[in-house]
Amino acid sequence: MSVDSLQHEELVQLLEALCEDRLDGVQGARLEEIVLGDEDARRVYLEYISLHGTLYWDAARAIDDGSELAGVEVAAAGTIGTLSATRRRVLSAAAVLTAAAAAALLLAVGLSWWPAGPSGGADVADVETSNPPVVDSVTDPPVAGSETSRRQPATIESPPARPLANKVEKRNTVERVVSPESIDPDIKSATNLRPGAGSLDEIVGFVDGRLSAQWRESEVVPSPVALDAEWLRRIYLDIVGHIPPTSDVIAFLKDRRPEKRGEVIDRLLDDTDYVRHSTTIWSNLLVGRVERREVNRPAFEKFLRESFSRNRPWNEVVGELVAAHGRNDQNGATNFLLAHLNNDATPATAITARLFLGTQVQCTQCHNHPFNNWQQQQFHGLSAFFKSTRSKPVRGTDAYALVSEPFEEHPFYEDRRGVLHMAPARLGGQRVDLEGNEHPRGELARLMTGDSDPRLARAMVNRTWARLLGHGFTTPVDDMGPHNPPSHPKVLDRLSREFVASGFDVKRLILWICSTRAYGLTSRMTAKNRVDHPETSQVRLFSHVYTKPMSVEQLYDSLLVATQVDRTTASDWESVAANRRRWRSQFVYSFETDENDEVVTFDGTITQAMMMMNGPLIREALSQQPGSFFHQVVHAPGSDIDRVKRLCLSALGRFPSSAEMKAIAEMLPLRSSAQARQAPASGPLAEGLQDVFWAYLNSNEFITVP
Amino acid sequence: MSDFRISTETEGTEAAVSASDPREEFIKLFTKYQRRVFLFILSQVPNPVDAEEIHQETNVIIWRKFDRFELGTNFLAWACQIASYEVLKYRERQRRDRHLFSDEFVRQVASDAIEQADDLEQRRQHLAVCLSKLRNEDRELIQQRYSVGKSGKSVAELIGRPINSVYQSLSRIRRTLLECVNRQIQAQATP
Repeated sequence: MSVDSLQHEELVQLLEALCEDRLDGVQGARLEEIVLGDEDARRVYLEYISLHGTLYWDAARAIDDGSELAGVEVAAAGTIGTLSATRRRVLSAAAVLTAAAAAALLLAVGLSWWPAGPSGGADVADVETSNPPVVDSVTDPPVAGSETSRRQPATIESPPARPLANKVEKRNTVERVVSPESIDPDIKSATNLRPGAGSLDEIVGFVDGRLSAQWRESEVVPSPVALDAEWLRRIYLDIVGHIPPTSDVIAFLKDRRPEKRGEVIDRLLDDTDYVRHSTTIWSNLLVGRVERREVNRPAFEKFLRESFSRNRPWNEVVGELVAAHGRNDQNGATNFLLAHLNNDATPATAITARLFLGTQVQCTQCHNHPFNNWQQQQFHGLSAFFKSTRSKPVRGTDAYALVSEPFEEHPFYEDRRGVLHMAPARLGGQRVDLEGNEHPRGELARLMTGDSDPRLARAMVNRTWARLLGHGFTTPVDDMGPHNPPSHPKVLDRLSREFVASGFDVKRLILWICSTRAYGLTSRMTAKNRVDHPETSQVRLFSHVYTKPMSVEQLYDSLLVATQVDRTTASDWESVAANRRRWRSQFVYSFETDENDEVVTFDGTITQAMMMMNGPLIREALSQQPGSFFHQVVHAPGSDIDRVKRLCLSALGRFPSSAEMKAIAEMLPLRSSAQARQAPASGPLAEGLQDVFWAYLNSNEFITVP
Repeated sequence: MSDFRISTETEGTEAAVSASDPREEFIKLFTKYQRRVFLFILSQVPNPVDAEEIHQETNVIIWRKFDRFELGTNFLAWACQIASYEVLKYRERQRRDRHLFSDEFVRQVASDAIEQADDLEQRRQHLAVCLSKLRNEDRELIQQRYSVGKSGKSVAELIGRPINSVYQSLSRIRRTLLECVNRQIQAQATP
């Protein structure tokens, strides 16, 4: 197909709009332009319209069958079951067989893998389909921070200890005169971060102890330790953002030493893909996936890449992001704020509070939250730091510069009763006089990243924990206000303290969490911890790992690994990143809201996976052309069963289960080893193997971080 | 299994049809090519309701001109000629600014559609197989969407799902079907 994939995607989206009669004039013109401009596009257009029309025609006829043309029409109304004899002959027997094989295999994969949660079989593959099970948004696996799980979690551990008065006073000396509500309850409820400096064993031992204690109290038995294949896939996806290559899987499975897991963690944290994956995660969080005019993404990613590659202290990185100024092509850090300066810097205020302080202030911009009387003041206090920040196009280039104008006067805001309040800059309980300050954001960075505010560390710990274990100590992960107490306050406090003591060492934080007992458990639930289900329970016990859907980027990178397409593509950062961005752009839509929201239509379910898997990437992987991965497998020495194993290892990082093997053996014309050694797989067998690989890549198991 | 069926009868060539009674022959051809004429119209007037209206008018003309058709010649080409003319008339009736597509587009698509008619017919037959492979839920949704007088929007209201999620599902299913058909065609092409 010569239509490039991006245009193809655009075309299909326009055709979809056409089918649902929601194509406007502009889109119609664009559709026309694409279709007239390219022969392949015209073919796709006709195929789509013909599909749409056939569905329309046949559905309508099935109901008022034979209305006008009774006797005659009936002859035409054949059914799926009555394939004509001619048709059967044309269709190779293998195609029929292997379609069934794919179905049986998917069934086997589905059944053997998904934990049987209380919500029943929503995740189980459908027997009747050779397409992968499709999970609609209604039955999606829960995603961290989803709206439904937003209820306030019940606290299990003892509620956060009231801090000693003197700690609060010390931090709030400036605020003494104001009413008590204005004292930052976030800081009140958070234990002061005493320096911690535990060894790995001490820290992990503490976390394991707290979690075990809670399992006992809740009368829950944790799931067993994850099998090596499951664990390896998880740690790869979590740290380097893609599935393990087959060679690593085999080496790991063969290794019998107890220290092998620890060694993998260390090795992966030093891998360049750790840098890449962290850069992806944080650039998505900080500037979003949608392209914005003011954002120079390559420069921004370069800044992040260098930060993660040198493992710079997190407080330093955040400080630089918040205080950045200058041209966005020269100082990559400026792009964070440049992405959020619209609308009086409301998004900048909101995202800074959310990502770095774990505090949601955006909804309190115009009114006070019932729980958080202090928040309106908080919002305006924080936004005051950004008031003098401007984005300016640099003449003669397409660059933008982030500049600060001198702070002139304190802004005002109007409360719900219409009373004007002065909005002095403040962070937490601390009021800051910015008059005459040439660089208010520098002051903000200093306050945020200093010792007095524990929130930066706590927010990072909570987010990292959530990313690795599938859920944070609070849900949503970035709403850690006093109305939303954490499930494990002591664990959160300890990890936060140690994080500060380590010098905000991000790698070490990941190492601690990945070394906990909880992280090493299987994600399968047992009868004895079924209550610990993120969909049905508000309680987070971490008695098994909560599965996570792959992100768009994880999926893309994993597909490259599974199909070994990565070996032939460009290897420099920029072009790899550009390819991936182009590919993912089809799933990302932006909403024009005050908070620069965007939506990724890829929600980790098989449905979206299907969309992209049927694209050129998968077609290439399944092609029997010499040089393709599939071609190699077909021509490699060994039995047919070895071929199936290689496909399974490559896609799922494990050997096929006996149920899968049985289904495949029944459906595919597998040959004896002697025969197989003499000739590569071809014809119906090769097609069957193609279907097997396709089924594996399209399974729920493939697109889930176990 | 649902009521939703794609007819999978194969079409013989005109020559294969035994010519007992010309009138009966004509009815057979007329019936056989109903759908293909409809699809031909739909490619130029992409709203199925409008396309059906034009199709009805085309049918009237086809019947009226019955005696001008020579059995043994290409019925589909003949019928499409009539349909093209009806599309033109329809576009003239419509106000210009309501046209989604330009004259050039319509001409080009019509000529491609005739050229590819056989391929498209073959795809239609594979579609039957692909529909049977859909998950039950998906087949039901597609069936609901395409039942008489329905649209994605009205189905969303009917089943109480957010409209965008229904659009997304429908889009996903149609893509699945299209890709499945592609696979079937490919499987057939590579011996």
